[in-house]
Parts: sequence; structure tokens; C-alpha cells
Amino acid sequence: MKRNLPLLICFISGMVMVIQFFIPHPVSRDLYTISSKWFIVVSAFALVLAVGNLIRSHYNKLKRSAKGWPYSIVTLASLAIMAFIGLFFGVKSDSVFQSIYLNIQAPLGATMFSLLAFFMASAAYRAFRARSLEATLLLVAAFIVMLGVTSLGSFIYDRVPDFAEWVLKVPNLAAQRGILFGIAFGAIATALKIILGIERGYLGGGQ
Amino acid sequence: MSFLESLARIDRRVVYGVLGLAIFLPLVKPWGIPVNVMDRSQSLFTFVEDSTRDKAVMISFDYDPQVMPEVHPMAYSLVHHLFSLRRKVIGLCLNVQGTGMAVDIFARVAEEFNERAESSEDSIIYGRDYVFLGWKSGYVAVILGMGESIREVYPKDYYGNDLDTLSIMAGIKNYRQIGLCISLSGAAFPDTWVAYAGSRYGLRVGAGVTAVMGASYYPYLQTRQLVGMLAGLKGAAEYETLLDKHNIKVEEKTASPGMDAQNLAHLVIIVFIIIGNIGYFYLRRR
Repeated sequence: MKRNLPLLICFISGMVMVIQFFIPHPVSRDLYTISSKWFIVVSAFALVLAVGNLIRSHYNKLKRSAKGWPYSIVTLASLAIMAFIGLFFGVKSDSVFQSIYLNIQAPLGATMFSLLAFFMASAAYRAFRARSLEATLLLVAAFIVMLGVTSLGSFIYDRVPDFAEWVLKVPNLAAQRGILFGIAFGAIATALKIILGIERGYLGGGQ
Repeated sequence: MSFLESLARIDRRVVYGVLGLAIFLPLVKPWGIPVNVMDRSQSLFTFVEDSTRDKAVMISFDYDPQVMPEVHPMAYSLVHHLFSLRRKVIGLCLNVQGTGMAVDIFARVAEEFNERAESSEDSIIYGRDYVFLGWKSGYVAVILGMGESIREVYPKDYYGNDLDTLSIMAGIKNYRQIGLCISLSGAAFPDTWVAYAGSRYGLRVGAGVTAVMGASYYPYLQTRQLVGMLAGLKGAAEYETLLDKHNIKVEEKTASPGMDAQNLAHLVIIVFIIIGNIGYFYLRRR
């Protein structure tokens, strides 16, 4: 029963939503609206769970004085401070909350992401070698696109952006579409396996 | 170690240093290379101009500070464009961190318009010209739910105002009254908008994404499931160029000045790859 009940709920919910999609009737639409609301409510609970888990995880780290425990203090303090400021002093454009967000979190986040440019340059220098015909083609395509999608391409030769667009619109598009089809079929197969109770990973317990 | 051999073994700190200089120098002394506009950006601009006349436009701020340098200038230009066209703008977020981004953009652009305004008609007023709905958890359900009723999903805006008290929302029930939704994102949110709002409710969708994501959206552009797309800093600079061409005054251009740095950075990376390959072929032949 402990295992069958969640499987039954999953099967009924999945089948109802699949059937509902093909029946444009007011009752069907109402059911759909209610389900959407439920989904949002359940997602909100998941968020509470996630925050609870974050607090517990860092609290345990502090209790055990695990490696990097001072970072846990920063995490918990940041969480508490931002929640307090947001809840009691508002979140408008001229609020302290927004000021902290724009002047601390935004530059920190942008800096972390910007560092990628340096790692990518170093990795491209070390790994991008014309070892085979395929690698050479990839290299040539990369040069064309790198130049074509910046204004430098048209500055050097006005047809470079056209070449870059062709690479993106023809070979790239064909490959991307193939990948999308693969993902879509995979998603359908996985959804069916979950609805029919073949895939039970979401129940936990490693089964 | 010979010179040619050393080309294959340049220390990574040298790569970092040269790239750093390539980014820094053009920011100090810009070259001013003109920005060419690609089809994907032009399509979005044209759609905003021509196909959203009697409908509201939704902007979904689905990005976080990590991708701010690329996507924030797009948001700024788009909101500027929409305000200058006097479109009703509805902002929302599928990514919780996008709320701060949206608040910043709306406040800045509205302030710029209001500084120049001579009457209430010229001003940009919250609740009349734009509204920000904020963030709700469960993004798929949020998109699907708004297809039936926006008020069911967002009874109140981000600041706690009842949607029925805001004049901008009069006559807006669901996607039928929305001419376009532009998802600004550093993740796969535009796919979600296309899959759920575009396919199911026929909402027209546009996208503003990071440069690395751009290539993966070409299938959607070809089928017109995306009406247009801005990709990376270049996409934002292209939109600024288009605004310029249409005499839409923008106070603060942030993308175009950065293009020189990006141009030189790309060139440096290409030169390093070529150098690395020269060294590699020399070593292989030996």
C-alpha cells in the first residue's frame, strides 16, 4: 500500500491531464485550472522545504565544525538578513533590499560569470587543435561564427556575418533540431514510464 | 625549447593577461566599430513596432545577476522601446532572482521618461502604463495558468496592489490580450514559453538570451515559434542601434560601448587558437 498509493496517484493524475488536453469542455477546463493552482501551491511548499533543508544542512555543518564552516555562517546570516529586510522594510526600487541586491549580489554574480571568458580562452587555446578533418571543420566554423556574430566580422569583410548566419541557420539548425527531437522523444518515453509506474526513481529508496 | 615549440605551451597566465588587456583597453579607449544588425534582432524589433499596436506586451525577466552584463542592456532597450511606443507593459519573473532586475529596469526607464515629461500624458505611470507582477513558484503552472486567467495566478502585483485596481489591467484577462511575450533569460525559459504559452495558447514569443545560448534557438526562429531573438551583448547592441536609427532617444547605452572589448577579445581568442595549432603541427611533424 505504501508503494502502490503514490503509483496510483501518479497514474490517475498523469492520465487525467493527458485526457484533459484533448477535451475542450468547461468541466475539463475547470479541472485544468484547479490543477494549475494546486501545482503552484505544491511548488511553494517545495520552496519552504528547500529553505528548511538549507538551514538544516548549514546548521549541521556548524555543529560539527566541518570544513569551510565559516561560509555556513555567511550563508545563514545572509539568508536571515535579506529575509528580515525584505519582509519588514519592503522591496521597492528605493528600498535597502533592492540596494543590497544591486550593489552586492549583482556585481558578485556578474563577476563570477565573467571569469568564464578567461577559462574559455585558455581552454580553447589548449584544446582546440585541428587533429582530424572533423576537428578542422569545427575550427573553421567556430572562427566564422566568432567573427560573424561580432561587429568585427562585418568590419573585416561585409559578407562574414552572412557566412556566420548560414552556419547557424543550416548545419547548426539541422543538428539542433535533431537534438530537440531526441530530447522530446526521450521526455515522452520517460513521462509514459513514470505514469505507468515502470520508472519509480521518484519514490526514493534506490528502486 | 624552440620558439615554435613554445607556441604550443604558452602559460595560461599569459593567456589571461593578454585577454584581460584586450578587454580593458577598448573600454578605456573605444574604437567605435559600427554594429551590424542581424536578421534575428531586426525581426524582434519589427514585430514590436508593427504587431503589438492594440495589445499589451509581456516581458518575462527570467534571468539572474550572473548574466546581467549580457541580458540587462536588452531589458533596458526593450522597455525603453515599448514605453516610447506607448505600449502597455506587463512584467513578471519565472526566475526568482529576476525580480530585482525587473524592479531596477522599470524604475530607471520610467524615471528617464518622467524627467523629460511635460504632462501626465507624457509620463510613465505605474499601474497605468506598466505593471510588475513579480515571481510565483512552479513556472510551468504559472505560464499555463495565465493562459486561462492572469488574475487567477497573480491576484496582486509585486507591491501587493489588487490587479483590479490598476487601470492597465482593465480589459486584460489572459494571453488573448497580449500581443507578444519576450522572455529574457540565461536558462531555458524561452523554450518553456514556446512550448506552453506559444503552442497551447498561440501567444507570440520573442527571446533575449546569452550569446552561448543563441545557436540553440535557431530551430524556433525558423518555424517562427520565436518571432525574433537578441543574443548576447551583440544582440543588445543591435537593439540599441535600431533604436538610434528610429530616433528613439536612449539615455544610457551599455551594450554598444562594450562591443569593442568583445570584438578584440574574440580576435585574441582566435589568434591564440591559431598560435596553438602552429605549435601543435610543429610538434607533430617533429
